[in-house]
Amino acid sequence: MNTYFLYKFYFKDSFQGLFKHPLLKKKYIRYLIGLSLLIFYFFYFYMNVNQVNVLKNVAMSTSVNELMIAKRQTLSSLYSITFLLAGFIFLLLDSGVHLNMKSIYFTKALPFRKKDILNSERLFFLSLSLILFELFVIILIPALVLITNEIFTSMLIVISIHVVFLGVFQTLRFIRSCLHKKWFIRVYQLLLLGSMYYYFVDYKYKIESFIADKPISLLTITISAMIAGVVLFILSWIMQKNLNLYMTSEYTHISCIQPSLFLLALLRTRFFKVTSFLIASMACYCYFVIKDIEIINFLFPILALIFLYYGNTTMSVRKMFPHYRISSLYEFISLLLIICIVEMPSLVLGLTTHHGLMVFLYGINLSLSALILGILLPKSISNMNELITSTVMILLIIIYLFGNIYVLCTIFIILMMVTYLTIKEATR
Amino acid sequence: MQTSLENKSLYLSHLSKSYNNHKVIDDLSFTFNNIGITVIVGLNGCGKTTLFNIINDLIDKDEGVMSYENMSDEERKKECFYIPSDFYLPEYMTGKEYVEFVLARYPHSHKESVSYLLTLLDFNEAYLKLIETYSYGMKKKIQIIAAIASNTQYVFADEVFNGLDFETVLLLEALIQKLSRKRAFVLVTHEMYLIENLQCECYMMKKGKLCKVTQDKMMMIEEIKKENEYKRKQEVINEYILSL
Repeated sequence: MNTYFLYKFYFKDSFQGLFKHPLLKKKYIRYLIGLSLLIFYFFYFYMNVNQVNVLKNVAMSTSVNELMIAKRQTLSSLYSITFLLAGFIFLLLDSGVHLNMKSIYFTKALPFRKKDILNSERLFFLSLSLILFELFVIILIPALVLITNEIFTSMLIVISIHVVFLGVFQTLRFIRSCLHKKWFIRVYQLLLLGSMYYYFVDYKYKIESFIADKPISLLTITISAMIAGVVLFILSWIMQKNLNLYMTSEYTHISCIQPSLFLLALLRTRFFKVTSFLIASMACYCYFVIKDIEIINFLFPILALIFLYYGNTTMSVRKMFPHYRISSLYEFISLLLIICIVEMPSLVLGLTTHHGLMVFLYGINLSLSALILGILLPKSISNMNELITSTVMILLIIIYLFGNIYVLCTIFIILMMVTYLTIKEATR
Repeated sequence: MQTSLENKSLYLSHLSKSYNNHKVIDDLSFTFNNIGITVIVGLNGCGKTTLFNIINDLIDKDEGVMSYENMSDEERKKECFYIPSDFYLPEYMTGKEYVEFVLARYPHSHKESVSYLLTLLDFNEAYLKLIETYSYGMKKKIQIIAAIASNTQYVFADEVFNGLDFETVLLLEALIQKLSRKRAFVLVTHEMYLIENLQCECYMMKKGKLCKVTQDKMMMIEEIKKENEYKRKQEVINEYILSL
């Protein structure tokens, strides 16, 4: 009973903060965002269905034996993608969703049993992961016609990929729960990321080819995967005893020669520490080891992600800005200057290579987008905000890559206006 | 610490504020003297914090005018310091950075006061630490240091004595009493001890207006007990005890 109560509380707490920003409270803006997402999703789904139909036509002109090999390969590829998605979604939720202070206080200060807290927290994260996984499943389902035409087998495959997903996801969470030191957790995340990368570029095809060449039925593969998923899930569920659920400090004391209110709000977050270290390490690796400057061009703009947390960091003190006579325009101009400074390495590198101003504009657009998202959806309001803003930023990092200089300039002008309006609304 | 504004007062004229058709401040007109201590008391939710938030431009009023000797709002703000009951602090800054940032906003601030205040409030060590690491009482103290060093003509403080240790309460009481010879302190407090011992003018926020009340603790208690609402609540206590 208490497990369900806590589970419901986490969900309510996660989603209630989603639309608290004054701008997002307006009905027409909510309808606009909802409609845009719906159109985008249907367009994407339609493109996928079209591509699957093309592949199906090609499959009709191959021999039975070759077809079976292809089917086994496709099925094992499906499980590979499920395995990778479990890892990816685990990393996303582990970094992007944390129970906020209110949830932690409610959970730990009130007399709930440890078992109830553990189960409700696990159920909460499993539910979130399943929601994200379903977005991919809906896209993957049309591809099932390439494997089998039988409804029963199709349903079994769908159930088995869910079981495999849950088993792998829960196992990763169990391993994470055994680590208590912050640096161990970072290393674990990096190792997982590295393993997923090497599995995707190398081992995935070797394993899939190995399974494809074996004379086993699709049903055998499906049931074996399901059993593996169930065993992983049960073992990791039983073995997990601990939950590292504590309030953590948000900021690090980094000395600053000229402390500015806005600059300190960006530099002193834990996220800045981790991001700048990662980017600096990767830049050094690209320059000194693999000697590729091209990657560095698109690495520096990623520092724009630090602006995601500005809104949350200044959320409390912002209420006093009118009293301290800090105008929205002053704040906007100060932040714009900081963005230019942060993206300066991109500008220098871009001008020395053939990219010119494009990378600089790309970085500025990412920074402004991160700033807007961070102010609209501050992480301490809801458990989900961090996840949503991170996911949107990942999408924007990819989408902005496709723009030419004219598109990026147009986006820049629009983002400037939206940023100023967002800051003004947030301070009002 | 002298200012050039010793003969000027802060006027509130026909101020009104409603939340969901419930009038919290109702046609309130008041003059805050620019020296001395004004204490505002009242039930929880009667509008004391709303009044302070309006005066200090944290929320907008529905009707009414505020004026400080024909100064613009910008100039008026330079003469008012506000310590809210909730903490609107930049937790990523150290106490020192916060105080320096705040004092830079006030043209008449007296930075030399800070060292005295740090010693008075035993705050020298914590001053260089992040505000995030401060306890409740420490967050109150850092705001008090900023308020006093700002040297503004008016200091509005909402429940500033909450969370302070008793020694600090006594010291702060003595300090405010002395400073009020040249500055105005407008305090919201529920502490009977302070209401009785401060040389101040006491007002009660009731039905959206400010009414002068006695400072005598026994008389104030008698006044509250006479209220019909209080008598009804006494009956509720009796019913509850009987139910246990």
